[in-house]
Amino acid sequence: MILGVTKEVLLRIAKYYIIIGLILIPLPLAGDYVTHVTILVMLYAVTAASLDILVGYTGRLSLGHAAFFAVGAYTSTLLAMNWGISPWIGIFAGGIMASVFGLILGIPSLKLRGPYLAISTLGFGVIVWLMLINLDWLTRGPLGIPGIPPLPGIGPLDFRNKVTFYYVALIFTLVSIFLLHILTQSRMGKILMSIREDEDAALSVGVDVPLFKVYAFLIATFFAGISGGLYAHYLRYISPEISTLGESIYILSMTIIGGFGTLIGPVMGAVVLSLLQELLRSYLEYRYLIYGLLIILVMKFFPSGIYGIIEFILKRVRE
Amino acid sequence: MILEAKNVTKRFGGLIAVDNVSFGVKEGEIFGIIGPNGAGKTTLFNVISGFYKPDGGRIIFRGQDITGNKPHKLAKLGLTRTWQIVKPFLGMKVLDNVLIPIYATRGVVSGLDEREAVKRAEEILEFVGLLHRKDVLAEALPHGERKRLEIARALATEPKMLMLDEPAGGLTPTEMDEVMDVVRKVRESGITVTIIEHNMRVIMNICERIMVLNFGRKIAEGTPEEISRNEEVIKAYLGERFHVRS
Repeated sequence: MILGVTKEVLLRIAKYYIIIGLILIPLPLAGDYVTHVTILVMLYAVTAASLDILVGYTGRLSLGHAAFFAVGAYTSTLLAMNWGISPWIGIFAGGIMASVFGLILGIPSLKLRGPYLAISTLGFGVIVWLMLINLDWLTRGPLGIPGIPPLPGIGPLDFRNKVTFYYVALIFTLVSIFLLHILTQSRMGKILMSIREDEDAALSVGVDVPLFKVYAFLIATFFAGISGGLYAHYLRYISPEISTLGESIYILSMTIIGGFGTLIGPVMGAVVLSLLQELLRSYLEYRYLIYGLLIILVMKFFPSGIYGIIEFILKRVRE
Repeated sequence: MILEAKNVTKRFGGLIAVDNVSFGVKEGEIFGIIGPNGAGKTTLFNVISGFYKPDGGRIIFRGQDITGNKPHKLAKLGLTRTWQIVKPFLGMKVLDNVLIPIYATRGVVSGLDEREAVKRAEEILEFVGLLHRKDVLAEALPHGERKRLEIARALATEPKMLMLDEPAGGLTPTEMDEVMDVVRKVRESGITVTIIEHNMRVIMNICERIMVLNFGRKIAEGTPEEISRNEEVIKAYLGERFHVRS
């Protein structure tokens, strides 16, 4: 039993992830393009799901999540390129570094709520972006860093190959979302939800609200950081563009349009928005307009997002 | 004395909401706090339960100075309050509402075995008469049941003293009786109760002792009979013709 999650529940949830994993195994047969898009979708899905721990479960709106993705990406990249540290280790180090940045933002913003919290997370994201642009000696500024080493091969497996990398990303995605899923079903998850529902009520029945808010930040930023690391060693080029406000809003759109507070919703959001972006390639300059419109429509008519719509339809069908 | 407040003062800018109030609550009793609107009752509760820092005075709970302690620490020490405007965790099941305090006070990582925790939560729901509602979302409960859920959730912290802020506020007479039965049962189970209440029928019937506040100051303290005969209390609050009903 982990944090109040019984073995039966653990196995039942694990079963779904194994089935989804099995279904996704043959996907690379659809060709390089589909494989490539799917890899990016999966990395975004983990990032959006990790953001859901903050936004959906703890009720802490964050407009700076891309910053943590970028911190993970730059950390792993710089460790590999300057000190020759294996990306396998660097990616984890990136996750931890993202959590350290999460603390730097999380602790001072503990008492902030609503729009004040949103503005401070937004400001933090912009600070990280400015640092990446201006610390030339470390990050090469706006030029970005090309030639990032790929994940080192294991035996015959060469991770420069999209198909091989696809399976790394698949395992990473399934394991990450599974862990987050377990978290939401655990005592910890319920405590986080109690903070979302009413901070004062939670405090009055013994919940150490500041401590658990910090935990939520640590967890959410860790997974964003790891996704960032994998992204860097997959595309093998990063630039400050991955930490912009636009990116943060893109990730938040996935979480909201997918349905926040459901964990799986943001994963669906990542799929839908990524597909939309591929379809609208030629109208890219209008993308924020479209996301904005979608968010407004979802919040107005279906606050529980795509997940809620699917749930609603399934219920109707059953009846 | 399980709780002693000594010269507690709380100011908001120029307004003195609680002015040099001292009182003590005896172990095992039901202690009432009454007074007109704006007398400082809820502010006093907020100070004792750690939501406000007092500008002066000390609060002693079970021999320990708890002045300025954080609310979640006090809940773990056995001093738990409820809210006048109930604050259920609306989007969560009734059972989960009661499990949260059990996790929070006994431990999230270790603490009670999950089966034990659920068993305890169900006992408490049974105690307040909400067991049949355990699997519905708290938002589905009507006001009367939310009031009882509020008490159940506070009880789940296993308090030594329960502070109830208008537990009968806005209830129909029948619902009020249900809540009062629960309060009596709480006391019978050995928990000290401090209660703010506006309804005189309620307060005069269940309290051993009552303190009266007016404009932040304590103007009287005593048994319900003494209070109902006190000239100043009658003038400030009760009105000329109030008599104790048995």
